[in-house]
Amino acid sequence: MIFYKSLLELDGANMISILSFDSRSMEALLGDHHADHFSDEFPLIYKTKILKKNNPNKFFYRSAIDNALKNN
Amino acid sequence: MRAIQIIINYICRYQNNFVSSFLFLKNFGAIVEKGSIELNEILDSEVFHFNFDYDGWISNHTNDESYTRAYNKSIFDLRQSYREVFPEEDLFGPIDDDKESSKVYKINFHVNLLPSVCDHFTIHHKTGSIDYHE
Repeated sequence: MIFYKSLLELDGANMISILSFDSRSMEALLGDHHADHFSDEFPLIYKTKILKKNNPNKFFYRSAIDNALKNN
Repeated sequence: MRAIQIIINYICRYQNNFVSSFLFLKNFGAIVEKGSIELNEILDSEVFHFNFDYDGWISNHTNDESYTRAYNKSIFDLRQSYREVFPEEDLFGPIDDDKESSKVYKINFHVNLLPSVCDHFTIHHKTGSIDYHE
């Protein structure tokens, strides 16, 4: 449910890829207290297709790990 | 770096599958270089390592030695690539029918995906061209 809801609302992304630069957000989203909602059937970490700012016809793929690495 | 650690721990727990290895294709070197991220769990997980059992690959043999071989084509072609990975006709030798059944061992095949992360070369599965991946 988390997977479908986030995929539809955030243009294919989810809050994890958006907030991955912040460790406290990651702890809040991916902590064990949410374990009941996690399932290996619906992955939360994946690459998101992002349009380039200077050329909307081109795009690239970036994951939550890439975002976290870029901003830390 | 704590955020990356949390994400990696999540992957080890809930996305523990070789499919997740594509998340690390271009950044694993940078993660290792950080030095402060514990990677033992993901290196021991099934993200970079998986077992397979295809019909075209032998499953039992009297030779129980371990071999390490390079495979540089698409993972989707692996099923038909037994002869390419083991081109030597007599590497394993024919199954000796005279031996006792207890001497026939089950053969396991594993793929280590770590060589495909970071900078590496691949052979295109259709054109045969050699591509360099950064």
